[in-house]
Amino acid sequence: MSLETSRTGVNARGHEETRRSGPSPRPSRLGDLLRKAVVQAVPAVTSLAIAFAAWEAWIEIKDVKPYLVPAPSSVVERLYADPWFFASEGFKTLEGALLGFLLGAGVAIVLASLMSQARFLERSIFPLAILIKVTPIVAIAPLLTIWFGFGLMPKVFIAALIVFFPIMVNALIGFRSVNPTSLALLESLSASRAEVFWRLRLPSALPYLFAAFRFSIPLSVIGAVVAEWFSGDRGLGSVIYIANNNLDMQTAFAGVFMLALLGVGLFLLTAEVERRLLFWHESNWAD
Amino acid sequence: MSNDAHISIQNVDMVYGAGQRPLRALAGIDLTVGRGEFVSIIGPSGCGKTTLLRIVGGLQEPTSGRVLIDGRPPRQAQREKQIGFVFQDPSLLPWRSVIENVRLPLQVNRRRDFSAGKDPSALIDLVGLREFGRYYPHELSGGMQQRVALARSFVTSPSVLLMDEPFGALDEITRSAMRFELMRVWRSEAAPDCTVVFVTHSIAEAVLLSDRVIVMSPQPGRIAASLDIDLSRPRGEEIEETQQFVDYTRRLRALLREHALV
Repeated sequence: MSLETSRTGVNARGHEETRRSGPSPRPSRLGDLLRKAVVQAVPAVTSLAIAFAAWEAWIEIKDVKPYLVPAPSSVVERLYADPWFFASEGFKTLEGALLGFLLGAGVAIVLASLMSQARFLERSIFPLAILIKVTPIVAIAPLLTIWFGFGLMPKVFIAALIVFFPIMVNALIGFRSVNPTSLALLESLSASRAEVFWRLRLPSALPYLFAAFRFSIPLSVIGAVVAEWFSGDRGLGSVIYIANNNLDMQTAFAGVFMLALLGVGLFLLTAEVERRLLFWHESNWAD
Repeated sequence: MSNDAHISIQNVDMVYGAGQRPLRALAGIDLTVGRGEFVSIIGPSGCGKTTLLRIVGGLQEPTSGRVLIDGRPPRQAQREKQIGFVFQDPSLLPWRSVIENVRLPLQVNRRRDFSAGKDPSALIDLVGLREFGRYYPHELSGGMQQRVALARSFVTSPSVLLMDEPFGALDEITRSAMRFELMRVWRSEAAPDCTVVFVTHSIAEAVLLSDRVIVMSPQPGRIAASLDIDLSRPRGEEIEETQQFVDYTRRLRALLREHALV
């Protein structure tokens, strides 16, 4: 129903007299929601099912050895046999990725807000940021083990490094992309710089920030996995690494499957938060 | 209207850029606006109308000369929230509902001694949007958005209202309705003795709304002529058909042809 409302609103632009008689009671959204879920989920589920069936058939027909490629059914069996193991290892990876994402995003947003205030700050901070960006993180990952030991810290650090740059650049563009008339309005009221930032720059930057979040959240999972390869005692990265060495393809693929699940889950979560927070933005008006 | 000088613009020059080819936007502007007076500034694009309005509102400093509002610089008036602005772009914050947008000027730059604010919901009623307080800007038409901007500009009880082609982006039918809406609000209890400086392209709009129309000529922007409009208030739609009104528009058109064509 919210989509319906905004579409009417857009159409009403420029027609002063298409006033509605106040807020109409919004009918139950459950039906709409279900219909939408079906419309969106059915094609995706179908194509996935076809892909898995083809994979399964290929293994059967060609008699591919399980130590090369496992059949999807055997991967599912492996997951089903030990769900708690995969869930807890998945949680370890998720923990590192999310904490790293929060750290990287936090530092990026704070630095971008500083840079948006003065050009000289931009000129001093940006080169450092680029240095971080161009450093191959895989190359310094072993060092992080030496510095931070095993466990959580290297994961957090690498995930943070990976998400830092795209978020910072988008945040900076966002903080600068304010409506000049809104800025003039706040100036005409003697708003302080801090007020301009909180009331105008930060909300204006949200669409840019979420664009960055959407693709950097999956990156943070990659960062955590890379760290686990080099230094992990726990987590899906270590599970896959060890299983690979043992030619235990069922376990390796089960780990990959869990990682894919994590990535999809985080992506959908970001999209949902964005949809709720940015209901006012053009990107959310269309279907 | 009274003779009491409210806004005093004294020998204002505005030059953009320096060196070989500086652009002279305003040259020797002198203008006094009385308390409660409605003055329109009319002229072709690029004659410096908007620049002049921004200088009066303290958004820009003139290269030379000065502006006084009640004998004090515009920045001081800003701090006391004496200045209301309405721009061509309604510039509502899209993440705030109608009522939150109207409340915005009360929330920024909060001073302990500022108590003159108006009730936002009463202002929303006044501009005819009673049921729309909880709506968001993207759910409103352009005309409704500009009504919200109007309500917002009155919420601090400003003594000076600066309007920069506020109805310029609206269709003709809405624009006409908004002119009467503006006069109604301006003459209501919401804005006692409010002085208005109104920048426009439209001859009919200037005559209909104003006590006095200032004609500006471009390159550099100067005041070319001034025309007092002696039409009784309140002014309704029927006034546009009177001979007096037609005469004023004719004279204003002649003044524009004489001074403002490059």
